[in-house]
Amino acid sequence: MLVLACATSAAASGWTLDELAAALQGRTSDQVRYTERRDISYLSQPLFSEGVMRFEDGVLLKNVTAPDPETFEVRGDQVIHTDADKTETRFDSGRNPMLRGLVVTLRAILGGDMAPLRDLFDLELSGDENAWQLAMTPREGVLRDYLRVIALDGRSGDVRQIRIDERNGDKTVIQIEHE
Amino acid sequence: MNEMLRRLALPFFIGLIVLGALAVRHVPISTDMSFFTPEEQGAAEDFLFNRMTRADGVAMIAVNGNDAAADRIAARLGDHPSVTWVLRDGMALDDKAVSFLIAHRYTLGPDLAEDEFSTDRMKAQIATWLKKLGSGMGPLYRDVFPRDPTGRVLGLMERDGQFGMRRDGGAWQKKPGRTMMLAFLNIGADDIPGHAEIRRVLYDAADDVGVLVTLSGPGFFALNASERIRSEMQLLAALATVGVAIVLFAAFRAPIILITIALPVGFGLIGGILMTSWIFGSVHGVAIAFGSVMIGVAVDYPVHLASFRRPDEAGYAVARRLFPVMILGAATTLAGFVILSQSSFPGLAQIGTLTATAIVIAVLFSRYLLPLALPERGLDLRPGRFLWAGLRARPGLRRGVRYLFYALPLAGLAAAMFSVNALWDDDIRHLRMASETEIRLDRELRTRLGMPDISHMILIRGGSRDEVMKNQWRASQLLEQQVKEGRLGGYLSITDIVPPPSIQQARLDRIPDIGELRTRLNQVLVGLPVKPDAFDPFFDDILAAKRHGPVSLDVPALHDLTLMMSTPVEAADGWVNAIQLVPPIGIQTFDVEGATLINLREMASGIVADYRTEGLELLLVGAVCGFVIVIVGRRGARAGLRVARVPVIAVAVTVAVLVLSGTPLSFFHLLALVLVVSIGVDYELFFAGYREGPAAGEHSFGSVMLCFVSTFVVFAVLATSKIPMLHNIGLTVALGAAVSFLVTIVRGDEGAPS
Repeated sequence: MLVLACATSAAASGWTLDELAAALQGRTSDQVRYTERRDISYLSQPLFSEGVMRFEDGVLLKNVTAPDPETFEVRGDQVIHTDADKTETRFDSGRNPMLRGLVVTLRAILGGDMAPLRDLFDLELSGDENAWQLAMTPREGVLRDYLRVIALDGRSGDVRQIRIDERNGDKTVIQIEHE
Repeated sequence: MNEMLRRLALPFFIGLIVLGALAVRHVPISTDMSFFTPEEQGAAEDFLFNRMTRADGVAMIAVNGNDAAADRIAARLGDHPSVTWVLRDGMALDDKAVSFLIAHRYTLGPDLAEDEFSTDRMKAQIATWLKKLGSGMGPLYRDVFPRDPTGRVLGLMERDGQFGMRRDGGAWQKKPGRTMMLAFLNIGADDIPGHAEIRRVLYDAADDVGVLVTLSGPGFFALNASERIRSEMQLLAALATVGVAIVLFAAFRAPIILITIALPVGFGLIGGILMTSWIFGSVHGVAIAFGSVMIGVAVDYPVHLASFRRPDEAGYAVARRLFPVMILGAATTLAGFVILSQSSFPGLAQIGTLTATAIVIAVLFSRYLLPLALPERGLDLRPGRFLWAGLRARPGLRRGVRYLFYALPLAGLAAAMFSVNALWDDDIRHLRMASETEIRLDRELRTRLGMPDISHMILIRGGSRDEVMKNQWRASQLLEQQVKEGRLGGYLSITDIVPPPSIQQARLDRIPDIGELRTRLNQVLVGLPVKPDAFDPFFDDILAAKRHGPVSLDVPALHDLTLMMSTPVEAADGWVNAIQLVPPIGIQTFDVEGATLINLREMASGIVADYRTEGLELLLVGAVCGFVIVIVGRRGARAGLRVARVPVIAVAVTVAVLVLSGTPLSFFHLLALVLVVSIGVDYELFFAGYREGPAAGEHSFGSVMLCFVSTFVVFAVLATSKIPMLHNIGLTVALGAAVSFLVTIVRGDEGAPS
């Protein structure tokens, strides 16, 4: 019902979820540059990092360039992390709700795969093609226990910002620059 | 009426055999190490056998394919109920185990740092944590940091950020395009069908994914060996059956004789298995295999009955006539097996019981029931008559060969005694069934997975479980030193994860009180971007740890943390445990209080030697008893000695040939020699010792020759086996039977009663 309401409200402004999905799928460039700011409740200063992200043959790649070089390779739910010393760690993205939410979101916005988003979140789209906002509220389970909302801002098929609000007060903001 | 009985007898007996076989299907058959376990054993043996039969099998797997392929295979394996855990590319623990480890981090794991709670250390550790929080992995560490200003959790992590068993001998060796996996099973290494199922699941998954996998592990060794034995036994049994069928058909020209001859052995074997099961509660597979071979002499009874049968003679008449000779031969053989049934090794005792019972049943069946099913047609004596006539016509030749047979064993035994070749072979490696390829693969996978060596361990002893833990803790400290000095690749000791309670308590006592910790942390946090109340969870953990006290070894949550490690077990003379060693193993001795380096291979070989020694002693007693029986049966020492000559010469020549040809004797040769003695006595009694009709001895010769040819065919086929145990038995019996036959026929006329 809520989805229907959302779809209706977005449709009223002439920009629907289906159109957003089509715009995301129609993107020509698969690589983006990003800067990330993480505010953790028990720290008095935010933490910053930056790098590039790419979606290639179903695999999401995240290359962190600062503060220390490291890479993430996401295949399905499996994450392979390689640090500056080339040490590899594998883990399931489901081990951490924040990571899981981020992985699903990045796959959707870089690969245009909206289906997992629709499964896991209630989606509320507002604005128009030139300036849209998508609020994603976890529906249930562990994701809902940890995440308050993931908010995307964008223009047409380009996502400009991802904001992740966690229930413990932590916030992560990722600014995206399309190449 | 008699004719009707005769017609019904064979189907009736076959029906009984089928019923017996159905009854045997309900007998519990064991395939574990209990066959080799002495009843009273020391701590090391007790531990070794306990460990080998424990439900903690592992499958070592290499997947030659990409990560996605390995993921799918790991998932399929992990779904199987016998697989408790599949580890990929490292010894990572699951979240539950990690939570337990973190909650008890000050009591579990390696020792605390000297300056664990100093301000300098905490400052440095908090800086390390902040760097991790700022990395892409930060979200994973978010909740741990406020609990760990001393960096204790960081110290328990592997280099790759995973929590693992740090003393596993090092990281797994990775190779491009190949993924290593370790599957923990909840079945023991002796569960052969269970391992076959796991292997099927793995190979099916690999087929579906389209990659190659290699697999090894103790249970898979046993599985491969059992399959190899089964397929080889099927082939050899088929060859032997065809060979014997041809011989018997040529002799009797009656196909039915094949079934008739199998009846006493069939009833004997079924009876033997049921009796052994009744006495011991179960029967070991190895005892059944040996018992089946050992009762081979029972095949001769129906052959003699059919061969000695005169035209128009009733079946019962010939059985009555031959029974005194048959019972004397059977009693001589029985002596050996009845004595063997008193062995302190359950395996030997079961072979003795099964075979003795089987022989009694076979001889009684041959006397009282088999005559009902004997075929009308007697033995075709033409080939025997021809040969026998040839031999009789050359008394000089026979005399010459006879002297040779007295001289040969003496010379052979003397040569064997002074030969440089070893007389006994107790090396456990010579008994193994694994192929060289399997052994190489196992070694490679073990190295890549950093798995412990299977031939060495440090055995820990103590009067109680606590004492074992204390001794093990001390030994582990010394081993750690050996690892640092490069003399040891690594070791697996449970006290590295769960130290003895006294050590755990001492660690807790070293933790400053909360007030002091707060003061120190406030000093540390000056200038750092961390809020003052950030470490409240750390203080909660400290209070909880002190309240909880030492962690007991019995806590179920420890299971995953200590998967590869053994826990103390109660043995016959106290408590024992082991520290497993990871190659390379450069230490030659390790003898500290309550801890000794054990070479399992030498220990197992020692058990094999004990097995062989006890078997030899019992069989010698059995031989003396058998000799007394022959003397009584033959009513005189001289006649008894005459009967004993054939088996004595056969055994002596066989042993001499084996030793001189570079084949030292094992326990299996000894069992085969018992059969040689039985065969020798049988030939002597039925040929030289029994005459019927004219002195020509055609029936005796024909019957003994037929027994010999069929025995020789069976065991010569067995001697071609690639499995050492079967080859040894086949070669020994074939050789012994040939010598027995030759000795019998060259001295056949001596003192034969008319």
